[in-house]
Amino acid sequence: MQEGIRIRGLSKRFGDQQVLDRVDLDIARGEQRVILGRSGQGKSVLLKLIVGLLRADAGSILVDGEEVTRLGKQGLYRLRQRFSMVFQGGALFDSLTVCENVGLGLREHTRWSDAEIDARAERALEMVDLAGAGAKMPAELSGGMRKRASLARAIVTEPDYLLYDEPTTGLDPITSDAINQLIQRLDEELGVTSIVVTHDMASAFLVGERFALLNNGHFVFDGDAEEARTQTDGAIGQFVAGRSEGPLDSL
Amino acid sequence: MFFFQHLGSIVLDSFADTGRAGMLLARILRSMVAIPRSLRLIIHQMFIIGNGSVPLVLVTSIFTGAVTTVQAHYQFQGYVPIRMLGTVVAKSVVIELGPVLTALVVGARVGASIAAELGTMKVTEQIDALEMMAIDPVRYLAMPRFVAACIMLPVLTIFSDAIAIGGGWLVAVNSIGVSSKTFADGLRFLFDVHDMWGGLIKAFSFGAIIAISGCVHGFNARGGAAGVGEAAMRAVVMASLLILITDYILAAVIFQVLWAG
Repeated sequence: MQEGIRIRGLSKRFGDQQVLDRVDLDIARGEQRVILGRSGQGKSVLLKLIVGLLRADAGSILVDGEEVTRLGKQGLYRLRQRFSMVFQGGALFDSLTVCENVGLGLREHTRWSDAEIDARAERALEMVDLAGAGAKMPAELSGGMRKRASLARAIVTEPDYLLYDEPTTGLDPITSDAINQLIQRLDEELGVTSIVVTHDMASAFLVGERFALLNNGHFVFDGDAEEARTQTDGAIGQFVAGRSEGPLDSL
Repeated sequence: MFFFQHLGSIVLDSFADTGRAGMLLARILRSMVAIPRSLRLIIHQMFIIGNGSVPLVLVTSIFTGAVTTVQAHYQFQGYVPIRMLGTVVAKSVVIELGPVLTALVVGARVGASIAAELGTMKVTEQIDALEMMAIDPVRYLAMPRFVAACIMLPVLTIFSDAIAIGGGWLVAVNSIGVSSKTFADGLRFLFDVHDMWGGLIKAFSFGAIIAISGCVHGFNARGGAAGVGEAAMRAVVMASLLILITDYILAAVIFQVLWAG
């Protein structure tokens, strides 16, 4: 069985817009992969296709040798128990406390006692420096705290794959750096395979080992962090430098 | 030309909504095997739907009973003996006004609330987050609301019937001058327990309609705040229309076919 994620000829269209056009990508187990691209280029769509939250129009997605595009509802639920995702806005459940949010997956999928689940949720909150915030409602949290609570919810089930959708968007630079350090620390401590979708280059270089740049439905760069940093021309050079002129469309 | 385009679009939307509602109902019914492990969620929803609707149903029912008494008295004059006042109030309330008016006011409150809550969860990716945690949103969100509404609508209807008859009695005694005994004799006269069962079957069906309307529009909300507002509005319109249409169908089936036989 092939370990990791192997994407071949993946296409997705919304109405007239071809978001992904026969893209290929390999993500090895244990790799810290960063998907770069301007807003609206289909980075989040790619994440949702990998876990079957969206259905592909064509192509193949193999996760540890299992074809995701052919899985039914129960198969997808089984697959997703090995994944966790940190959503862009946190996606914490408004009607549950932070501790209940973090423990929900365990409550639904294990036979552990409430005390055991609460203890594990508290431990996950401690790992993201949110000890003592378990009784708060999501509405009482700041943007950075919501991201960290979402991270705690993602790691509590000890997944094999962690997906991050714009983990630092909307945060101030200091909170962004704290979140990046946290992602880096969790990756090291938990040994998970992580896929980070972002357009924040500071975040990308801090948490990523390999980079892929998505533009107009195609990957226009696939290489390691050193290549991304040193290539000053071409699409990746333009993106890393943040220039409006170059092969990437500015509008 | 524009009128016909608009009309056609409304008709097509209605068919699409009905299809989505039917598919959601099938998924809810299939997820009912999980009722035992969802009891906590169902009880929580019963509290929200039932307890939260009591003040609204109370006010609606008092005035429903009162106005039924006034109108019946006006139409009786010179033709029907006044001792029939209680009979007419009880029959009207138990068979028709209690279930339908309760469903319409609770439908507006609860249907909009369900659609807005689920719609917000949809546009803020909370539904996707549930899916990511391998938790079926239909089982976790829709089924408890459906079961709770099906249980609480009959309960609220019994409460509404009692309050409306009380409101009718207050007006009959204090405004029209009918004695309590005459009004009570009228209530007992021609009382048939089948009337009450008919009303409760309607209330049960209306509970299902309210929950399905709220859930189907909530799950299909798009965009931001405007999309959530649109979902809430469409849920209330769908629930209100389906309640009135179903009321006619059930009245024909229950009172002209089942009980008539």
